[in-house]
Amino acid sequence: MTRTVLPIWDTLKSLGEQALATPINALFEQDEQRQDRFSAELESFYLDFSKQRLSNEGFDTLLQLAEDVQLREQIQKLFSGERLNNTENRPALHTALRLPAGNPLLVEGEDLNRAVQETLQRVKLIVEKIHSKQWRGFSGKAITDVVNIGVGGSDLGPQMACSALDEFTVEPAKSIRIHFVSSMDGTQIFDVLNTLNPETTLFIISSKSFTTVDTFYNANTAIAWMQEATRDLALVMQNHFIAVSAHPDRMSDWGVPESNQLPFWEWVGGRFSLWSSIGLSIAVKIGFDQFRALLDGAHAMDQHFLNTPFERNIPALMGLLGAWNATFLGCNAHTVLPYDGRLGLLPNYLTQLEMESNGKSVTKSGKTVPYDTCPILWGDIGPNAQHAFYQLLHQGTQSVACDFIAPINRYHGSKKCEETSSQLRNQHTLALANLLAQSRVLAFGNKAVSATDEKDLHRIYNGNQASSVLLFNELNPFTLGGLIAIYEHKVFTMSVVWNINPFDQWGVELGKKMAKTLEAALLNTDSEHPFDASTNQLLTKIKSERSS
Amino acid sequence: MNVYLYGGGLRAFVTSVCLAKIGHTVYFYEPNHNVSDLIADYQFEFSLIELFNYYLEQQQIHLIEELRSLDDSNAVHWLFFDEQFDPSFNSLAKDIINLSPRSHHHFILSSLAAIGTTDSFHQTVIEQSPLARVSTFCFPFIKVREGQSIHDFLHRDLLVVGCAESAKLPSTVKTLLEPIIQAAKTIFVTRNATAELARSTINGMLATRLSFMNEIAAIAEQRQVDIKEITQIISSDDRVGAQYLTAGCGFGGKTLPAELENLKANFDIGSEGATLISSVQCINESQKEVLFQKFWRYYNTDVYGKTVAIWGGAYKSGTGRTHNSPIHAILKAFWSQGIKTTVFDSQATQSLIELYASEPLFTAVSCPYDCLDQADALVITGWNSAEVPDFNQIKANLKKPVIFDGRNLFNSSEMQSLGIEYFGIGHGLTI
Repeated sequence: MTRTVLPIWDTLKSLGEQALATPINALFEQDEQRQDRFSAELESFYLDFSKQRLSNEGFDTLLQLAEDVQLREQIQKLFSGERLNNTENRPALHTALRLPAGNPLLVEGEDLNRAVQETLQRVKLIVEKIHSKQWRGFSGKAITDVVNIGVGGSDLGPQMACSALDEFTVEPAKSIRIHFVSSMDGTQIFDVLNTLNPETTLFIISSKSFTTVDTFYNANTAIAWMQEATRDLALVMQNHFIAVSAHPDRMSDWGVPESNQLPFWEWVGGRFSLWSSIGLSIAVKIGFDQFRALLDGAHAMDQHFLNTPFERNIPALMGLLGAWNATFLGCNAHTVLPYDGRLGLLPNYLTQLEMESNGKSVTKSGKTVPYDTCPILWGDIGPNAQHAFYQLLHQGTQSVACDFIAPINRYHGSKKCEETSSQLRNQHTLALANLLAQSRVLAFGNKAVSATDEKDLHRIYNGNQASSVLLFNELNPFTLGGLIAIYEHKVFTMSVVWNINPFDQWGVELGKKMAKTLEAALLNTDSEHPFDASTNQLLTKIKSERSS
Repeated sequence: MNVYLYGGGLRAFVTSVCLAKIGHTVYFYEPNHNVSDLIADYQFEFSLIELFNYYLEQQQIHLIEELRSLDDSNAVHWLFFDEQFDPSFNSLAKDIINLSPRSHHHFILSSLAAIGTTDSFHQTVIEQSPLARVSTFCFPFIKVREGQSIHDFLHRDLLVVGCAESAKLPSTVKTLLEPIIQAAKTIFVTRNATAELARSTINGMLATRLSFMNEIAAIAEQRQVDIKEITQIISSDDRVGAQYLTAGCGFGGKTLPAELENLKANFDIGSEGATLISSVQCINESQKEVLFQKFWRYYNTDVYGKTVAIWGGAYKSGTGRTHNSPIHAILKAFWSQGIKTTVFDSQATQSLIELYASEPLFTAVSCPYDCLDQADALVITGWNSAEVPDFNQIKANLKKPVIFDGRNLFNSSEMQSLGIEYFGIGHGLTI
C-alpha cells in the first residue's frame, strides 16, 4: 500500500488545532470521568494519560487512525517475522528472543525459537561457570571482573538493565564486578584497566556486525594489556575473551575460539538486543533465572500488545499519543522522567531506542514524509531534573511532552534495619509526591494551586504541558522487562503511524565513512587538504599543535 | 562423681573417655542420634573408640535413653555442640531442672560457638526456671588435637574455664576436674565471654599464621626461594615460635574456619570490618585451589579430558574427616574443566564416596598406586609422612612423571634425580 497522507490526517490536524485551543483543565471540566477512559492497565502496570491534550473525540479519532494504518496487522506481521525492515530486507524479531521455551516460531520454514533457546542455554552455562568461580584466567585464578566492550545497542541496554537491577545481584555475582566500556576515545578502558588484574579479567566483545570501529579499538587495547601479562595470544583469547555477534566467521577470524562465541542473529536490531546473548552481562549480574524473568516480563507485555484492544493497550496508546503530540500538536520534544534513581540510565537508553528508530524522514515507500516524525527525546531522574531543566517545562516557550515513571512500592523488603527502611520509604513517598505535584502543575499551572489570579508574570505557570504517568507495582527483573517492551512497542506503533522503517539506521553510515578519510588525513603529513574550508583549517590547526 | 553428657561429636567422646579414666561415672544422653552411628563417624580414632567401648563394658559410661530424676544435691551436665548452638538445649535444661528441682545444676558448655553463647544460654535457663539453682561454665577445648585428643585433654599446657557469675570454680566443678587441674601447667578461671574469646583468638591466630605463611610461599616461589628453609629459619626465633608455620594447600577441619567466622561475626556489616580475618579466610580459600592452578598452567590451560590421581582427601592426615578440606575445591575445579579424578585416602575414602558417588568424573581407589595409571599428574593433598612412597612405581605408572604436592613432603633435589617434575607450595619447581 502506498500512501503519503491518509484522509483521517486532515481530521486529526483540525482536532489538533482545537486541542491547542483547549486548556487541559477544560478537558477535565467537560468530562468528570475522564481519568477512567484515559487510563489503561496490565497486571502491575498502570498508565494514566488523562493529562494529555486529547479530547474524547480526539481519542476516538486516534483509535480510528490505528485502524486506518492497520496497526493490528502490522503488529501481527512484526511478531510473525515478516520482513518489515524493508531497506535491509529482514524481519525484526526481538519478540522471538523472549518466547517461552517450547513455543515454536516458524519463520520462513525455520523454528527460530530453537536457536534462541539453545543460545540461552549457552548463556546459562557461561553464567554458571563464572558464578561457580570456575571460569579461569590463564594463571588458573577465577574471574573477578567482567568487562563488556560494546557501543550503542551492545552497551546502552545491558548497562541500563544492570544499573536498574543492581539490588537483584545474585549472591555469587556479588564478588564479580561488571564494567562497561564504549567510548572510542579510550577514556573508559583507560580507567577500567587501571583497576583490574589481567589474571582475573574477562572481556565480552559485543558487536552485532563484529566490525564496529569503536569496539575494536577498545578490544585491541584490551588484548595489548592482556599480553603484557602473558604473551601467548591463543591463551588470552581462550580464557579472557567472549565474543557476541551475528557473524561467527568474523569472531573466528578475530581469534575467538568457537567455545567462547555467542551468536545472535541479523533479525535482531542492535537497540532491541539486550534480550539476546548481548544481555550476557545482565545475566552474569542477576543470574540466569532472573534474566529469564526479565524476558518473561517482556513476553507478557508482547502478548498484551498483540492481543489487547488499542483502547486499553499500553504500548499502542503511548505510541498513538507520541504521534499525536509530535505530528498533530507540533510538540517536538519529549522528556522521560523516572522518579526512581535506579532508572537513571533509562532516558539515555531511550534516546537511542526512539531517535535511532524513528528519526527518519522517508516513508516505507521511499517518499519524503510530509509531517513531523520522532521528537527530540531526553530525560533524567525526575527529582534531579526538577533542579535542572524543569524551569523550561514550566515557563519556557517550548512545548514538551513528559513521561513520568515510578514504581509504587520501594524499600518494602529492605534488609536494612527498620528505622533506616522506614526513612527510605519516606524518601520514596516524597518522590511520588513530587511526581504527582509536577504532573499536576505542568497540566494545570497556577490553577492547580488556587483560582486566584496571579499578577506577577514571572510567577505565572501556564500549564497545558502534556504528560502521562506510568506506574508499576515495584521494580524487579519482570517489570523492567515489561517497561522496556512498552517503549519498544510504543516506538513500533509510532513508526506504523508515520509509515517509516524503525529498524534501520542509515543515518549513521556516512559519518563512519567520512571518519576513515579524516583519520587518514590526520595521520598523514600533508599540509594541504581537499575538504571544505572549515575542515581544512581545523585539520591544519590540530596537526600543527599536536605533540608527536 | 556422676556426670551427664549431652550432644555428640569428637569432644563429647573424648570427654566421656577422659572422665571415666579419672574415675567418674558418665551418663551419655543423645536422643537425636544412634550412638553407635556417631561412634562409626570416629572409627579412625582407634584408641578413642576402643576406650569408649571398654568403659561402656566396665559400666563407667552408660548410654541413657531418658532423662532421669537425680538424687544428687549437685549435678553436672556437660553440653557439646559445634558452631551452632542447638536451641533444643534450652528445653533440655528446663526438663532436667523440672525433674530434679532441688539439685544445684552445673551446666558446662564445650563448643565452637560464637562469643556470648554460654552467657546467653545461662540467661535463658534462669529466665525459664527462675527458682532453680543454676551455674554455667564454658570449657573450651584448646589444643586438643585430633589423633591425640585423650592425651591432650588430660595433660593440658593451658586450662581455661569460664564461669557465668563469679570467676571462681565451685567445689563441685573443682572436684570433677581435679586431676586435670593438677596436671595443667597454666590455669585461668575467668568470665565465660573471656574464655570464649580467648579460644577464638588462639585459633584465629593459628589460622592467621598459616595464611601468612601461604602468602609468603607465593613470594618464595617468585624469588626461587624454598619456603621450607624459611620456616626452619624463622621458627628458630623464639619470638616467632615453631608452630603453625607450614605452607600448604590450605587448612580445613571444623575448628579454624569456625573460629574465624566467630571472630568476624562481631563486626557490623558496613563498618571497616574484619579486614585481617577476611584476608586470612580469603587467602585460605584460594590456597585450596593452588594445586589445580599449577596443573592448569603446567598444561597451558589445555586440560579438558585429562586425568589426575589425587592422594589425600581428609583435611589433614591422621583423620578421616573432610570438613573444609581442600579436596572439595580441588575436585570441583578439576571436574569443571572436564578432568577425571581418581582419589586415594587411607581413611576418608568412604566419606568422599558418600559425597561424590554420583559425580561421573569421580573414582575412589583403595590402594594409592591404583590411581596412577594413565594419570596426567599426581596431586597430593595429604599423605602419611611416615611412609615413603614408591617413587619408581609412581614414575612408571603416571602418563607423565609430574607431582603437585600441597604438603611439601618430599625433597626437591631427590625428585629431580628420580626424573620427576615436582611442584610444591613455595617448594620444588616453579610454574
